[in-house]
Amino acid sequence: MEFDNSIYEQIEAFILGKMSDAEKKLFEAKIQSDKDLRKEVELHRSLKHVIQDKEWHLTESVKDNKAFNQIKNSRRSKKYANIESSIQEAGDQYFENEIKPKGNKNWLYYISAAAAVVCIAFFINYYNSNQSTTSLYAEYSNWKDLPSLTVQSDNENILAEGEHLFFKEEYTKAIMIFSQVLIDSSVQNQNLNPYILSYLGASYLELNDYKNAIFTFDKLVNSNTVDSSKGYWYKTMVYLKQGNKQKTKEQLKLILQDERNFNFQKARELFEKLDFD
Amino acid sequence: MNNDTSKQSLDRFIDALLKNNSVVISEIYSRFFPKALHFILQNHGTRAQAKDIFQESLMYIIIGVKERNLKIDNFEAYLFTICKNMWRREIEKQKKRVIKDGLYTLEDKETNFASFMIEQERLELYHEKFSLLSDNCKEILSLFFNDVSYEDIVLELSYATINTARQRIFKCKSKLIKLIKSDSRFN
Repeated sequence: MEFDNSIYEQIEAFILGKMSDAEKKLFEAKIQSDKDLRKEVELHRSLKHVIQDKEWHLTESVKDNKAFNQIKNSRRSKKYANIESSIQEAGDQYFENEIKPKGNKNWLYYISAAAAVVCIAFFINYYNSNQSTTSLYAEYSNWKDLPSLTVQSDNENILAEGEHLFFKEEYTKAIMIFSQVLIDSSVQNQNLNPYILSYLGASYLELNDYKNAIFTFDKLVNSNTVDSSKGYWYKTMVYLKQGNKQKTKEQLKLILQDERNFNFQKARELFEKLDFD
Repeated sequence: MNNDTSKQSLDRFIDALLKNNSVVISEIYSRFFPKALHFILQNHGTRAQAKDIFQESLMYIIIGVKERNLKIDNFEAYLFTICKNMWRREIEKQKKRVIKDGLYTLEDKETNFASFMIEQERLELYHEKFSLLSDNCKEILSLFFNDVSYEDIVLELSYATINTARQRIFKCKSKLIKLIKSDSRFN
């Protein structure tokens, strides 16, 4: 599609912000109604990034591109699932070997805390093998080990606030914050989303809003991240709290399918306890 | 000769990725990950984010080579470019903060990946076409794209008037756009 020079001049003025408000409004309306023009403006706008590599140009029309779905399907395809898991494993391994100095202390703390919980649980269980699901829930739903959000960048303050509210048991307020962050971050910091979803779901669960809790944790399961399997564990907690043994077991079976799943050991343990009574 | 050996060693990594050779994939991590990690940490990222980006970048190379006819001259440099660009894109998305309707409109990993790939391929096309321009065009467009004002461009490149500089920029830009649009990869 060719445009004449006057259009090019307008595009340039538009991009450089040299139009008056009225001109700008008019031009924006034009862009809205003319797909070719829209594409042209996008091209002009992205052109400067050939040279300037400080910023990244997010192309609005990527999804119109013929190749878009093809690439998406390739990325999703089983064909590449094996290599993806190899890469993931290599990454995990690398991290295990490399970041010991920093991570160790924390992990030791959590591991020993978890071990203590397990020991206590074991003794309680030993003397009272017929535990109710309620007490099992109390025992296993340890939200304290949710990853802290305060160390992350950017959204830091708002997330820290949410986390704070969560631990103060002000769940309704926490839900408001986390939902908002998720809306805001829908197209941005996805690495944080699994954690935010965890807090959000846990908040719903603490308020006995099982429906939203399950809905939220399903999002986590479907997030297709390293944290996906946490969603299974949290859903287990929902069903456990509801006293639904059947569904609790179903979730546990999902976790037990793969040793790498979150809380694999705990899941096995809990499964045995449920089987017991 | 040198070229040959370097080509061989870079093919080795791509080959390993395509063949799912876990030993060499570990080697890729130990050799190339630190640099990507450093870049991302320097640019307000976390270790976990660096890990994700690196992984997606390797997937980018695999899918690019297998499905998108991607040719890579230098594995290390290309991998780093992809990591860098993916992270820059992440930052840009954070800045945009588009508020969408309804809860949980999470963009899934594959959508994110495909969007990046389209944008990256487009950028590579732009680079390729830019390199075909005359030196004079490259010079003046470089200044222009770096937000140097017309006044300064006139001084820098000794143009007679702002208007001549403006016309020159206009011509070079049109030429570049024409080259880009006439390529079948642009759609």
